[in-house]
Amino acid sequence: MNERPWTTDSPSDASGSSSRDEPLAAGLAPEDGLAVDRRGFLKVLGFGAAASLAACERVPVHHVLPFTIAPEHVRAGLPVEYAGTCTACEARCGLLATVRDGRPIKLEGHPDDPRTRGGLCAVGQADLRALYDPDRLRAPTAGGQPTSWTALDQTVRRQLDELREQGLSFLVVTGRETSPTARRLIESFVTDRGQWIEIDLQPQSPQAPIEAYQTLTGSRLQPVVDWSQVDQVVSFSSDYLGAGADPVANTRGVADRRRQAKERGALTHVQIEGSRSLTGAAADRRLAANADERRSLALRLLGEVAARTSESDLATSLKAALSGLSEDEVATRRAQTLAVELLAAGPKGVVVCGDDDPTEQLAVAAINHMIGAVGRSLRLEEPLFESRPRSGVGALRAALADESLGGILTIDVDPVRQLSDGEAVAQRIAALPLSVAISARPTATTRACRLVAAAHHGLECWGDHQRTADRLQIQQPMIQPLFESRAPYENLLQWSGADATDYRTHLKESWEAHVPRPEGVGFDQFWHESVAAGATALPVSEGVASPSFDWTDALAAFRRSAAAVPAPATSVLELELLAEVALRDGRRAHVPWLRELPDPLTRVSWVPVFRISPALAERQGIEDGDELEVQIEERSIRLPARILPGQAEGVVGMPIGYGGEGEDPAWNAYRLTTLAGEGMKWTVAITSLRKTGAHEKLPLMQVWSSTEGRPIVYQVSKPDEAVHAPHHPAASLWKDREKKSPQWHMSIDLDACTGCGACVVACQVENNIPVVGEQGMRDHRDMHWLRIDRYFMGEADDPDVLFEPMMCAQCDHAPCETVCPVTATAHSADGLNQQAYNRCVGTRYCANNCPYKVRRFNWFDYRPKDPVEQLVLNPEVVVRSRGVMEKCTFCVQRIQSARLTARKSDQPGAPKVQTACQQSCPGAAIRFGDATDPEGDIATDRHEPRAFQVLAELGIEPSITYLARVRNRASSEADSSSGSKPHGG
Amino acid sequence: MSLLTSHPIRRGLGLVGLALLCGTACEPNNQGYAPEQPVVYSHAVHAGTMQIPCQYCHFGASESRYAGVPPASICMNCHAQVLPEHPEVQKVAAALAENRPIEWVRVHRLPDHATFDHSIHVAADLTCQTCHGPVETMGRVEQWAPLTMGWCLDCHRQGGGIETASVAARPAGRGNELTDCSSCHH
Repeated sequence: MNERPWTTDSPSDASGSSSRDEPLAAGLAPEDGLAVDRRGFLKVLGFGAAASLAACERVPVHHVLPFTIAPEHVRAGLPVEYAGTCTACEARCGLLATVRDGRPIKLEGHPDDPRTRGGLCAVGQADLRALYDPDRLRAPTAGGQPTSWTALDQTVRRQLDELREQGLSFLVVTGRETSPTARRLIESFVTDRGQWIEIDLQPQSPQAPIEAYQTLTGSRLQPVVDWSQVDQVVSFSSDYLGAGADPVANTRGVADRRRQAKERGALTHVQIEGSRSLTGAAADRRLAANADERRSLALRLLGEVAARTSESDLATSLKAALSGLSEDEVATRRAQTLAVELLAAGPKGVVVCGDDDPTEQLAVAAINHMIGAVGRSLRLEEPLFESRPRSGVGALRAALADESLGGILTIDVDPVRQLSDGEAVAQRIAALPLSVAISARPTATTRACRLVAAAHHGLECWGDHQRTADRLQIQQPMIQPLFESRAPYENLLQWSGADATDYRTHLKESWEAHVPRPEGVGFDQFWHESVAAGATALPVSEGVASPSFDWTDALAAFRRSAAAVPAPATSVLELELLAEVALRDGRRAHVPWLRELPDPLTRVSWVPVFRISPALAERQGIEDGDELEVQIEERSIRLPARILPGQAEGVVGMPIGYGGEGEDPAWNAYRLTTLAGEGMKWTVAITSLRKTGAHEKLPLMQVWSSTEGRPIVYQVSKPDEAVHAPHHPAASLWKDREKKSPQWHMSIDLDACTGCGACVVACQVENNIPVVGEQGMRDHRDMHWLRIDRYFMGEADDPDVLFEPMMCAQCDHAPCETVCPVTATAHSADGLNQQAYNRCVGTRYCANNCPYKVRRFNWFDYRPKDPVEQLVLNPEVVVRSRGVMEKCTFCVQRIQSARLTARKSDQPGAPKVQTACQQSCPGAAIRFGDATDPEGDIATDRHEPRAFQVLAELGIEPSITYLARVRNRASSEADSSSGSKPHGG
Repeated sequence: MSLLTSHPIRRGLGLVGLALLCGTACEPNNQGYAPEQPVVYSHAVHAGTMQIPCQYCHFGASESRYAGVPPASICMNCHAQVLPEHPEVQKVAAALAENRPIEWVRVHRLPDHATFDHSIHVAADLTCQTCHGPVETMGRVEQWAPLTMGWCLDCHRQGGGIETASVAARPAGRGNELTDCSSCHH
């Protein structure tokens, strides 16, 4: 096992002092001399006396430390919820943190956030563990040695003054900054000889479409899809449901629209992509295509749309510009089908594009214009914070090359890891007179910089964030700082010699000066209300006047590209650098929950793999786990292969989230990127690919991808199509229980589930589920109570993907309960399959008798040992020890708490309970409630034609109902595989 | 070789003896535990003689899982006026002045795998004495009840002779959840 800071202790040293190899009693002789002589007898007697004395001692003395003065709203043992903003990525979803006894123990999406409405992705959920990361920087350092804040401040201020005296400049490098207050602060900080550069180092950057509209309209405009208006979406590798720009909000929008299919027709989704993404897995139809094919298909689609719209000057000139496209029967037919569908949808159709190719982006913008999507399914908005001059990776390189540069200050970014020539950047930084990194964790950049300012985690500091024009969100601390760190932007206040050096005071002053508040409301009241709500509404000016389009440049680009479209070739191989759902760009790659979250598609955790197509695997004789060496010009990378049906034949996928601090630097895919304007290019041509002959057993959560025709998961082609699941036999081995209200039951709508894994992490946080580490995953000792099974169905090369969240179904006739020899698992009156951990002796009979394989056994002591790490534990849930079986209990601690609250306040009926998975789901796919309530959600879902239960034919009466996935294939390409009959792939 | 000298038997006898020694020495629970506290404090005076209601100091009991040990400021509500010169009161005053919590020794402690919620028991109109014994007569607080699972279940099965108004008035259909494992173990 690799030595990594986030792995749990290796099993060998995990058992601590009570080693299982110690003899039972110290006085007993070893096996060969068991005869007890007089001395031996006395020894045993002596041990017995000592043991009995020890047993007479009271339990260890525990102390209770009350407050000296109790804070007004804090009661020991009662959770308090605070509103805030998630700072794990730039989506900045609204947050509700549950704080128990001064420490946040759970992060949830804020139900009042109009974009996410309570959803929060896996990364946001797991950000809590980044707060309690024992490897965080605990104090500022200078030259690698701990220093005081006073000394660091003096050094930075002196060196900044020296730079200015010498006429040298300095750089401030940040990620995409979403805080208006921080932006104003940076702007003022760089006024004297400074330059501020924002870098965006992720695929699917929102900048690419903005650049396209800049070319077309002369003004920077951002296309925003209004999912409630869309009937037909064509996506060119946009991963809007997965690792793209705003997955939680998009997932909710799409899921809500799909739920209206019965009333107003289906939302049909066609995905064109090289590497299979979550968005591609959710598509109703999918076309695998490499980067060149995608660009040419976008151009052909534009041509076909132009040919079918009424005669106009634009249509004529587009047709003329695209006449140079080479003959390609297959591509033309695909384009024609898409054009017909899009034009049928008209303004309710929309095309989105996640590629970095400028011509493809232009073509997509042109198609949206031609079908009239703009103003209906697509809004053009002025992006926030776009007033600054040139910024981006290109600007950063130019600035670093500038001779007059004397200093650099990085804030929460890691350019050394994330630029292709990172080593050179590191050398350049080290050679500067002033180099400061503000970071919460050690990174490649903090190693390159001489001064390191340890930063607070986002949950420890104040701030504000803006994602839409009409709403300003608050970020507030949920805990006292754990270490000697500082809020990132407090440093700028210190170093610029501001009067107020406390960031909270600065933020309040900034709000008082800049944020409009309702008339007649004093600032203190306004501030208080905004902090409590987590956000305040901003007045919105009138929408963007419809921009005037100038097609000259675009037509020229189309003409050039059309002439340059290469003939289809299967021998070309390209490497697609992609963001995975869990690790994204690697910013949170140190969080063990995210490392252990298996990728929804490859089902691999902990390590990066090359994703290759079955066709390529067959051609080159590659199997899962074979090590591949991919050569890109001078560089080569070795990673194990994972065959992923649906991958375009010539496209090899590689994740970008790996290779950070403490990891194999060869895993860092950023070394392969190239520059494209101010952004980066995420596809590179592969020079050669070969098998090295090495092979490894991958850490796979799921080894089999097919249901083998068994009735486990279903998809239908219409929302009202019925699933014909097998019925369970009339005779049963079990007696029926009396079913009084409440009987807890769950329903999961597979049509709203994208497999994103937010529920898996939410469950892990809520229920203190341990991390078993890379070797544990290789040994299939995963502990996730809730897993998302992924099945392939249909054609072997590009099958449909079906996700099925799978957890304990709390069977009414539970096979596990029948076989437990110590009654550690028993049924409760409200229909739960209880697990009394302290009663379990670890026979594992129950796990063997569970048809869903959802019971988890603690093979080792996985409990966190580090005191900082232990802060994350939920005090409402027992931390299980070695040798104990555990499983999902439908969040019984939440049920219990709701039950007590209901009884204390004399509320009639079943209490309202939200399980952790249900709460977190961005698509609101999970519903939970009392099955005996005839008007309730559960009864409604159970009567849906799409409803089915997994393995119900065993007569075990599971308490989870699934609703089948709907694949809208009503159009010309509807295929026979979309029936309700399940079949393997 | 006689039966009594064969290895397993002899070893077995040794272990039986050992178990007997351990078993007879003391009770398996902490009943009667009355540790010395950092501040000499008498419930007999405060709750007995002075008749201060329990929840004046243990104000968490009606809302939270924990009844809570009172913050020093609660003591000083009265003792700022009453016996401010008393040496034990001075300890509390010093703790408050230095903002340093008093390290009380915990008397009642359930194992980590059991969850107990004070508030629901208060809501069920149980008196504190039902579980904590005659605290108003205790100079130094001791663990009066065994606090074992069997002892809890005596009431939860309603066989413990305690029949309160709220237990009797509980709506039908919620009956045996009181003895469900997950009521206390989750």
